[in-house]
Amino acid sequence: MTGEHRPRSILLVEDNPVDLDLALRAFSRQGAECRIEVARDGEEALAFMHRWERGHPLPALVLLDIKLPRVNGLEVLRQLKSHPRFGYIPVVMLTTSGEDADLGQAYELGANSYIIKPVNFARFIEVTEQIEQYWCLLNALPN
Amino acid sequence: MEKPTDATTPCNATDAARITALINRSPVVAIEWHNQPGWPVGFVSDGVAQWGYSRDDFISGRIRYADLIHADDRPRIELDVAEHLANGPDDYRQEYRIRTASGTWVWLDDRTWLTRNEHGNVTDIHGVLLDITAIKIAEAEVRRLNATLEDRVAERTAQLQAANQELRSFSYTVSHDLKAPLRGIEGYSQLLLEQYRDRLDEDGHHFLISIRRGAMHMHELIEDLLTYSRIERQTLDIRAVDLPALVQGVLDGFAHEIRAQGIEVVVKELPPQIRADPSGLTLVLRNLVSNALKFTRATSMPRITIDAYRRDRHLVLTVADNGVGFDMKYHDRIFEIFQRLHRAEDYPGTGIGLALVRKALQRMGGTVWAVSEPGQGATFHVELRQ
Repeated sequence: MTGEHRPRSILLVEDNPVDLDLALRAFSRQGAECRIEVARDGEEALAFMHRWERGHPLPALVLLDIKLPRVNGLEVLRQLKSHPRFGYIPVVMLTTSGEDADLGQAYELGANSYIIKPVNFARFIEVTEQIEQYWCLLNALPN
Repeated sequence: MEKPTDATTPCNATDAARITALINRSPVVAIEWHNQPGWPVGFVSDGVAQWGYSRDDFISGRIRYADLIHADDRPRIELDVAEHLANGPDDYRQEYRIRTASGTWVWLDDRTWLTRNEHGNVTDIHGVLLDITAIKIAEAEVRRLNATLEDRVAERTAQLQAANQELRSFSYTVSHDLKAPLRGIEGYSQLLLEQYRDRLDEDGHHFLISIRRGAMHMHELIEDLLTYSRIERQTLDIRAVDLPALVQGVLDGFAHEIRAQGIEVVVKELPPQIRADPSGLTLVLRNLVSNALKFTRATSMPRITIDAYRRDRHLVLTVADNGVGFDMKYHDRIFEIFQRLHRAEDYPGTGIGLALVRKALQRMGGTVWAVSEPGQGATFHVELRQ
């Protein structure tokens, strides 16, 4: 297997600076083993993924905010899930409300799960821990 | 009993004169055509004067009746008459327009019967004509109103849908845009509290706790507002509900508070099954019990009683407490959103709970009211249609 010696990574796509900063702090607080890569909008996220063609490792998980400037989260999701290689990578949508009308569409496009960004920071830490445990450390992907 | 007079029974001269006078004075026109080419008129009553014609116009053949029929109606009428002449029935009714002498059009209700000879061939056609133009105009007006009514309903529905959509995006905005800054306040104040606790003096610590309390209250408000706006959008699911189980489920959710406050909860005998929307009813009871818990906090020997009674075809559930109660002059205001009767520091809350109760019940076709007296507790009555 390739990349076994390297820590796996999570691509976090988030435009809101506060949410981004808190998410990074939550991951570091729970002592995440995965490296967190950051993209600030949809274009950056797609550019990051396509670095794979130049030999960069792919993330084990994409955490994708639904509402993003420029290329929005649903479009990023569509492009990832229709790509022959990226399509395998689990994508967890980030939303502020479980009632988000876009959630249904996200599932249709192949999103693997979603999480509601918790207002409570302690809860945020728990959620990041669960995400890493399940999607990043336990989840096995085809090579 | 007298034998009913047959229509063909000859009447004497006095009767004939009487009938002629009656017909000539009535709004109907009596007319007879011979079943011959062009349908010549053999008799017509004085009533034709109302359309500007004389009896002689028709008897002399100067005017052919068929020529007066509106071109749009004529083919239909001719076909219809031919069918009746050939195959009967011999009594029938037609509606069509004729032109008056002044060129206007009147609608007629023509009640016709046929006379046949011994071979079964029609010799004469008799008609009684009644001007129904006013009825036709009224009918057309009703049709037009109906059509425009549908348009207006469609227009209003579209307006309401737009308003509803606006409300949805409003609640989305509330959840999305108000929660985002709140996550920052909550998250950073938590970090500050954890990482800088030893560098804050007592005042600083107090300020920070106050900020966090405010943020928490804001969060509760947003969540309650979302629940409130969500009620509208949820589909109603009225079905048979195990009431004792539902009540117990709600009480179980408050088990911790009930134990902590040492409250005696009395559940009287409830009907085993009622018809209601289970999630709506749960929301209603949860808020009423929560309300009762809040307002019995300062009561010694606090007690909450849940009971039910029948009223006509309704079931009324009651949630009673022996808490602070309220003045009945506020009995309506308590169900309005953001209305509170007590200071927030005495009885914290968002001011949405009872508004939620009323709204959930409105959707189920139920009502809620409260009976109380200051210091004497309060009883909330929830009426559900069965």
